[in-house]
Amino acid sequence: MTASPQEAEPLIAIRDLSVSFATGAGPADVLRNVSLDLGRGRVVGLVGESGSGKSTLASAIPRLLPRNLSRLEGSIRYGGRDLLALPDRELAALRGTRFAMIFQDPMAALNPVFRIGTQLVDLQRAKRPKDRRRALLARAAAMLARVGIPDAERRLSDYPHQFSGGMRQRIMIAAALLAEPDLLIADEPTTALDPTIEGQIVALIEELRQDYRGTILLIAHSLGLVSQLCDDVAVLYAGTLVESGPAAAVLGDPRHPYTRALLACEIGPGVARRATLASIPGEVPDATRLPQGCVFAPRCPQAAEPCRAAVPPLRTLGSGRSVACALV
Amino acid sequence: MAGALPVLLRHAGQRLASTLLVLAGAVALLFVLTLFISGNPAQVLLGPRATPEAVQAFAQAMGLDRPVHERFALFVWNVLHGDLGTDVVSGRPVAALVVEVLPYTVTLTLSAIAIAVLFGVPLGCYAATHPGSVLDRAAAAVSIGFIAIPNFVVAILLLLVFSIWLDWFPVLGVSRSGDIGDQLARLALPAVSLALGWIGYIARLLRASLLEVLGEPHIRTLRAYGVPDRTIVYKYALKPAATPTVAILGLGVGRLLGGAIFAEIVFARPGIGTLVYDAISSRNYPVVQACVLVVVALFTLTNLAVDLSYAWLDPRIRRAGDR
Ligand SMILES: Nc1ncnc2c1ncn2[C@@H]1O[C@H](COP(=O)(O)OP(=O)(O)O)[C@@H](O)[C@H]1O
Ligand code: SF4
Ligand SMILES: [Mg+2]
Repeated sequence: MTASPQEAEPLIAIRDLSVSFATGAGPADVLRNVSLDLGRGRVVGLVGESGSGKSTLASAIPRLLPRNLSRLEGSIRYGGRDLLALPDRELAALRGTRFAMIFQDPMAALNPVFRIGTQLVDLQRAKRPKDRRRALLARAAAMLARVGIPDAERRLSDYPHQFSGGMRQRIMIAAALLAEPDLLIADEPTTALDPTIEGQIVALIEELRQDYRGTILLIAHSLGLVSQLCDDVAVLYAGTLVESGPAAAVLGDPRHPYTRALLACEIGPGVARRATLASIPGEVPDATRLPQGCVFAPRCPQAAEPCRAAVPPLRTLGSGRSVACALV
Repeated sequence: MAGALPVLLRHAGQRLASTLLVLAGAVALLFVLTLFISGNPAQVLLGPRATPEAVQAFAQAMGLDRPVHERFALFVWNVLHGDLGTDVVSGRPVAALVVEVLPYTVTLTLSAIAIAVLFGVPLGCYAATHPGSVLDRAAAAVSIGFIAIPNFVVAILLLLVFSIWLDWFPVLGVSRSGDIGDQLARLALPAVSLALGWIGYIARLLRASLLEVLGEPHIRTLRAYGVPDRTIVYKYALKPAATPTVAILGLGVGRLLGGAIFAEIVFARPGIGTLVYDAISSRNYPVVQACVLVVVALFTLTNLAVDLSYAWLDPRIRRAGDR
């Protein structure tokens, strides 16, 4: 990377993104004024406790939000257009061609009653509408071999249940790479796998960076994973982006008390892959009843008067870093 | 995949065996039931003025005077040989009567299923993708209506409106000529009368399971890759959603056959229905027995087909390929 991400035009620029869902307990404000740049060719790690809004943020980009969406504000700029203002049809045309996704649970992400080959053909259709089925199957076989599935051509006629969890995640990675997307969104691609398999998938993602130079938004459940795979990192807490910047800088010198607490939970990148982020005392606030001022205040060891007065805005610190804390 | 076919065959074999068992049970039950039928059939058939000697001779000819176990053995033996007895009225073999009318009933039932599927499936898909829409709510209301109204009432209403009032369709019977158009015209109303309730029923069942499937993660994968809604619903959601619908449809074939009997009577079509109706009226019970046996056979065979279709619908049932 020659240009640092903050100077070059980012691939995706998210500004003041707010997302709410209608629930029985009233509107749940799942994302509040989130601003984040996804630089071209960067691997951006998104971390935060379960329920902090990581998946919601990721699915807001291709606008794959649930039906009970009640508020969608702000902007997501991509290629000179605001994705949130794009007509449905135009946005759908970007899915599978410019954006591709890998999901957390590879067991459930593939259709149980269709052959892998059939699914990979249809997943490539948007990208290559004119290609023959045979050509798409050949591409699929080559990509499956590339992601480490032995005997790929023959296994196209197998069903998902005939593959292990790790192999299924390899299939999903193949599907994403077949789309040759500008942005690859990977939503906790290794969380559902056991540690050895997780290691293999992480190694595969690292290795694939040689071929795939697009942007990756990697939702990670641990900072260890982020330090291993990511150029940049963004930390979400209860729907608020609390800190972002180059991974080395943020993890080496965290500024936000929440980022610090997260790091403290993980003894070291290798050991603590499974460490739970929930080991910070206290609980994530309910999205329908968020506290006044800083959302982290109820759990923050440094919380003081100014923290509860107003929501601390995300401020840039220079060299691509931003923090949302009243005391920084 | 190599192991899948033998497993399917073994599965089919097991199911076939249990089907035969059910049929054997049906044969036994049928025989027992005839023992409880009131009235001496010989007396009934020969009329009140028949001499006791004539009645006696007739009963002897029919084997009605033998001990029960002998009659049962004979009955089973005959059924196994395709001999379903002799029509006490015409003296013709019952099997021949049944074979003659069976195609009419099968055609009617299959046409009804085809119509129900042809309309019910798209309606269910539409309702699942447009929940709460006018068509969705209308389909729900109409289907509940048709499920509540007995089949023969629908049949009579259709007959009144379309044949007698509007005069769009021939009134009754079947065409004995080879004229396909005429045959179809005479098939249309009875088949529709049978299918109407099922269209809404299939649509409701399918809607429910589609809504469930459409919420599953693999559907989200397809959306994330820009797969068109049409492909998502009619290909990737319909197949996993079809299993419960097919299961209930299979069980419903019994009801459908029952409905076919009434439709045949109302529309005066030849078939198992009219055959059994006439036979019951005249206590012609070899014919009644044969008809019941055929209906039970049709029902169990349909369930066999339904069961085998699961393996096609859901490859996870074919365990052999597991790794
Ligand atoms: N469709 C929905 N309706 C209501 N609340 C939702 C919905 N989807 C997610 N949420 C809530 O939004 C919050 C963020 O969810 P999510 O984005 O999945 O978090 P993460 O991926 O970080 O675990 C959670 O509290 C979750 O319960
Ligand atoms: S604003 Fe205050 S409460 Fe919030 S993180 Fe900073 S110090 Fe803690
Ligand atoms: Mg998530």
